[in-house]
Amino acid sequence: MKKYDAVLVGAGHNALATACVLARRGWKVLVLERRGVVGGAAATEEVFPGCRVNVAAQDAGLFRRDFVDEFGFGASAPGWVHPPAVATSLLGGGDGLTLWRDPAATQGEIARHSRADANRFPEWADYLDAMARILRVGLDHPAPALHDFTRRERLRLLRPLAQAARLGRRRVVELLRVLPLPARDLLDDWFAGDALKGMLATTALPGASHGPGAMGGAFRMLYHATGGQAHGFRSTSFLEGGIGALSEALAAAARARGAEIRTGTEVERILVEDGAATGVLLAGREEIPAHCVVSGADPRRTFFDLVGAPQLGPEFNRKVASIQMRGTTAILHLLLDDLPPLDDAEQRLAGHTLVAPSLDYLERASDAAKYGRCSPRPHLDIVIPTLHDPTLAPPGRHIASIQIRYAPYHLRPAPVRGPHAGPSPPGGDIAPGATPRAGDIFDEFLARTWDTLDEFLPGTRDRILDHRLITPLDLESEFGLTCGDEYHGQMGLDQLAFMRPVAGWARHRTPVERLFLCGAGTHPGGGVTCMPGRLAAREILRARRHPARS
Amino acid sequence: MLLETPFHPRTAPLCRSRRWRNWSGYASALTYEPGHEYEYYAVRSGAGLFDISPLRKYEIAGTDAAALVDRVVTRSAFDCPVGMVLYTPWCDEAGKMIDDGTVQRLGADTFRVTSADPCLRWLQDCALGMDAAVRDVTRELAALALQGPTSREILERVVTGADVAALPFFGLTGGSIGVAPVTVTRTGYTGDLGYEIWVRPENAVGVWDALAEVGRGYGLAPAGLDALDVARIEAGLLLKDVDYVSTWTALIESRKSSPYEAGLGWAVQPRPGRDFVGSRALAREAAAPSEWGFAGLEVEWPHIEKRFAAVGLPPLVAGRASREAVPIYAGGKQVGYVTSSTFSPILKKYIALATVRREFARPGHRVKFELTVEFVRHTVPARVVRTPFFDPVRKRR
Repeated sequence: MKKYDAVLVGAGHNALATACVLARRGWKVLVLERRGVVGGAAATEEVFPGCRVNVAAQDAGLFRRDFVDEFGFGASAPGWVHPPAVATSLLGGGDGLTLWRDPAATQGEIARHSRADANRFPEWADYLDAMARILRVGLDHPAPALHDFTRRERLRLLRPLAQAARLGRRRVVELLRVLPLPARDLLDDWFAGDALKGMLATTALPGASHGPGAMGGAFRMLYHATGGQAHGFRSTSFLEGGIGALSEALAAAARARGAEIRTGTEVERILVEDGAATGVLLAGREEIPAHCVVSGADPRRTFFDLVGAPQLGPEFNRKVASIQMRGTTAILHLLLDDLPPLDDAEQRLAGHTLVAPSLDYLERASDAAKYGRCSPRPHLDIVIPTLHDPTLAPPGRHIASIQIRYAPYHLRPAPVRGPHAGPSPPGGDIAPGATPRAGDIFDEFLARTWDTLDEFLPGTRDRILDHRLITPLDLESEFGLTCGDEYHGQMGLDQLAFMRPVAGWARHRTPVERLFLCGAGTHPGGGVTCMPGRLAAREILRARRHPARS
Repeated sequence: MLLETPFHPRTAPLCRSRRWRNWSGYASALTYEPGHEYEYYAVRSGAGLFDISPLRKYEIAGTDAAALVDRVVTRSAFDCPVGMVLYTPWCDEAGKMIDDGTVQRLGADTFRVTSADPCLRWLQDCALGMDAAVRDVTRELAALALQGPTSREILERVVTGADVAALPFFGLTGGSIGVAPVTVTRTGYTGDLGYEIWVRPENAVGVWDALAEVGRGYGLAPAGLDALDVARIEAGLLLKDVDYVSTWTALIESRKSSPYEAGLGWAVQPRPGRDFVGSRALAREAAAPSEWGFAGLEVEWPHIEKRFAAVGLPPLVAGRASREAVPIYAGGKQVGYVTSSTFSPILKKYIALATVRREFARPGHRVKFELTVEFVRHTVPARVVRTPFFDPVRKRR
């Protein structure tokens, strides 16, 4: 039987990046994807008839253009779209605040609210870029293996440290000061206007279940600016053909180098013999032997569902069980017969359109999630991809994809799963009918979302032809994201760098020899970055060169 | 305040010495009489009755129960037939000992594990992904150890519904004492013929009374931890956190012990394809042995006498077991340390359990044992011998 150098589990963008790099080194690579399309959560699919929709991820701003050559995109490179508006914050009553790519326009816009803030904004934009540049050095390099700090590891730290130092020692110190700050504290240092602060704080929210008052928010703000060109907000850009075009390009580049990609093929188990991975077992009972197995699935799914906890040590298992996985984002796709009624809609709504009128609004929305409830007044992040590529929908139609926070995966009291679950469980001290159903909870959540939309973007609802809600429960069942956590584990300060996925197992390696992780659950983390996949490929190549140095 | 075991209504009035010790949170008698000698001799010539209820007990049930036990302990649980008991250590992933205890196989898919200290979370962590439920039954199960040459005859007269006489060494059987259902295992911590009786707490006092009543004609005496300590050293049995330090409580890495270092290498039972916690580390250690080993020592008694006689004293060696670490020397250098020692009343020898450099662990080696006489340190010669020091034929027969 044909034996592969590497079998990759899942064809998310990170696994595809790993496949690209390995295939370019002449490795025989096989990528196995359960779904019918590649990309994982970074896929563009037909959700409404004749419309291609970015099912989960929207923004490609964190993907670094210098990777285009490294992955060998060639002619399949997607077309990038940089709409004039970076973000628009809806303030109710038709009022809005837009940040533009043109700094002067942005300054003028902010000046309508606060002249002082407008004056500070260019400095803030520079500051954000400078801090993000230093943080990026950390993301570009493997996490330091502090748990096993050998001489070789110390030497490997020299290069990133020197690179960071070249960017300015005082700035490095400043970065260390701000990283743990809550977004609220960082923004209070800079600005007075509530609308501006609320808007900027939204970049601290993805990857965490907490609001702007939580520690580590500043880190997430900077993390989301590491794609460059943040314009004081976050690195943002879109693709012709939707986010799936990037995944397709990665897949095409991998295939061009000889990698095989099989969709509609579910891996049931990762096979382990004597503590080393030997291949995978498909759902159809077919065994595929391989020199090494690389999992793009999240760590908990990889270790507990694919490898199986009994194959691993109890100390390690406890760490894996303790990884914080907390999906709190629901996604609502709308099919519209026209753009929402707003002056200059085509311009203003082309970036991120936000319902985040103040820091307190976001904090209150996140409060509900702390207690396992959905936000009664949620925060919305709306993207209209048909403004970037009109061919995604039939003429005259628009698609709006909304990330809604907060809709926690861990609801309390724990509801009956599924929209049409059977009758409430009998007996016990729960009164009949008292156990809520997840479907009812999310119906209620959707109603609150409509209210919010009516309040901040009135008239939009009259233009909706169809809608589809994707809850964190759906993200888990459809995309295999444990607990609906699209970052494969929270991006808190305790789950970063050498502590990602768990302390002691940075560097994409696992207690199972020749089993590697390449997904967002590893350093540097989530988002459409391809960075974990790229670093994983390097570690895998290194492990093969120096098998004894594991 | 210390907890009372289910036998407390009986043990409390009997404990005339009023000497109690904290054993896992329970009040446990050190001696019942002012001294422990009578209780010790009851174990060696009649029967000693110990309240061992403070032991931690866990019940493991489910289709993967055997697989779970096999994963946790170093001995092969699949090789333990129903109705038998295993003594075994268990280790962390680095192959260092966590605890040691017995594993009773009650049924094909039911086990009972005893340990010195709480272990529930560890067992449950190991059970992740397996169909095996782990339950702490420490408070649902009282236990007595009946140890000594007459223990079999006593039990034969007391237990109904089980053939105690036919119970093999490390065997297990169900039966009744009076109206109380009990589990009887032929196990113990004295190295003598002996049994352990496991009973629900509400029946505990009745079982004690039945044994005490019948035992009167067989030299039975309630016995405390002081007597047990002497007996277990004679039997060469380890005490956790005395003869070895659990990997969970060791303050420094070098204080942790593998089963090989603790003289339990025989209990590490790898087989192809068997993956128990610590197995890989232990396989590495088996290939490249540690520099430490376990040894039993006999200290030359005439030399002890001589050292005391030199200052005009009779040998003032504690009559009880000592848990004080004492250095051992060879060629002028320290090569190890004694972890437990006692004067053995039945062997009339001073014996000790020790951790020594491997090259000195083989029986026959001669080392020096540090002896302090009236604040002055001396060394006296000692010889490495096989353990158990005391191993009567009746233990197994």
